[in-house]
Amino acid sequence: MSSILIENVNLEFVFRPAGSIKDALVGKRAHDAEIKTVHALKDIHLSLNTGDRLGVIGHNGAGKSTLLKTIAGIYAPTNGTVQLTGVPTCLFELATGFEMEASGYQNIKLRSLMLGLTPKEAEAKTAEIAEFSGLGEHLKRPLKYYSSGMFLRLAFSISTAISPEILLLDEVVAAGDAGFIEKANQRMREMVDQVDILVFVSHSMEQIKAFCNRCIWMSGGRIILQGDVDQVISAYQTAMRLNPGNPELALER
Amino acid sequence: MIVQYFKNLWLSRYIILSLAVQDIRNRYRRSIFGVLWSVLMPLGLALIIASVYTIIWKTDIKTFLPFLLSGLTPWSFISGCSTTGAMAYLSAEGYIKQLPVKIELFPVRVMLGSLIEFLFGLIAFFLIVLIFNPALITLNLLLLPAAILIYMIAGTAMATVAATMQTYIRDYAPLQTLLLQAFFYVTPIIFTPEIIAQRGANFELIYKFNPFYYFLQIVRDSLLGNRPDPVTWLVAAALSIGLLCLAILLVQKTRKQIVFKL
Repeated sequence: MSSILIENVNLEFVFRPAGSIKDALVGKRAHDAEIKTVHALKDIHLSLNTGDRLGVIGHNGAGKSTLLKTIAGIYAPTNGTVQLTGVPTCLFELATGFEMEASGYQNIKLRSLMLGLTPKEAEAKTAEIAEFSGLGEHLKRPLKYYSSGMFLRLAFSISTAISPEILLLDEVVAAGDAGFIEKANQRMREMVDQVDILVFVSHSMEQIKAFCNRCIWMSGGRIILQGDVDQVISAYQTAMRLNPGNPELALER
Repeated sequence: MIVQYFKNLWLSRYIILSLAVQDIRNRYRRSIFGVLWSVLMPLGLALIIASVYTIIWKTDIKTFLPFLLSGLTPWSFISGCSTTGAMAYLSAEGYIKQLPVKIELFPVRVMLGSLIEFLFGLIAFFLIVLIFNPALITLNLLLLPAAILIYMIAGTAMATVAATMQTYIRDYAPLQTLLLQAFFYVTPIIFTPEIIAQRGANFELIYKFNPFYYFLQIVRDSLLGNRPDPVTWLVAAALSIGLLCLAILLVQKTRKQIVFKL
């Protein structure tokens, strides 16, 4: 049984003007106006259990990705609690976090370790990951010689090799040529079927409808509507039509 | 807090090891002499400095060359940990922003890289000693593992402090480089403590209050067969533990914020 319990979570980023020693020496303090607080998540309550497939929609800057990263444990909430039962895997920003000088094989090992595998488990997974990526001999070359397509193939293959209990998915960029995209989509569907809990951020309403059985609409760091997928999506789409710039106004009316 | 720090490092042990191996491979990729450079570089540098001294001041090269290497090698470890350490978090941005990794592992990665260099430097030292002055090798060598342990603690701490400072204040690295350069000249590395002591008691203070002096001295005690001074060792051990406490405090205070500062 896996579960995600988010209670009363708030997340604030504080942006100060970049601190420099000069400022510190002359005793210059950042003016209040220069310190900007971005309230990226506001009073989030969310409880998910095995079987839940949650779609997260909302326009850019609504806090969707921040929510995902907070669940993943990458961002710590300013206050409130996030409790996870089960192992999470994140699929976002696929193309970062690699050793460019190291070979594909070495990166497979390293990333597997970072995802929590032991060296033995990582060893055992390597062949499968290499096979799926279809990169063959290229895996012996340093990553800096990879094309962006090859890069994404490798990243996707590693990240999806581990069967997680909780899958956090942020609009995965389609990677590589048509053949690989087909293979990748196939694997995504399998993963989504197998995991206990899915949290899926997407701008594609079709994808949300295909994968999810619950949906939340986020705006300005809040969950402004939640419930049944069709219901939330139709409210969102109606609001977007009425007031594309500021859809949540339409909701209040 | 301290327990959590060590627990996190233990949990990350495979990652640290894998990254350290990576760093070593990268360093020697596509160079003809490969690993040999790590021995040749300190050797070459020491030979250059020693030649100058021998020609100008008629220093006895047999005693001066081992002395020089016994100081240069620890110094490059210390400055290496601080200089490379400054980038420890920033260069790990891709990992920290994407994976639930423990930030404390990245300074340890830096320390291990410098430690490997340090060990190669020791090989250079022993080569020189065997050629010029085999009598220097004494039972004091048994102290070397203890000195290395103190170095690992201090090196990790210095890398952590530098990494944190640089992440918050981007002007930190050049300032640190300057400071280290200054310390290079006031620490008895390319001259002996006796040379300063001869100038009078006031001059002695230059190194007596210099923390780096104690770190250097514990390795020299082990390598050069001096009579080990317990006070020096205590000061070095206390300094390294104090630094580590500061580092752990910084890690715990900044753990949640680092990801936003990258």
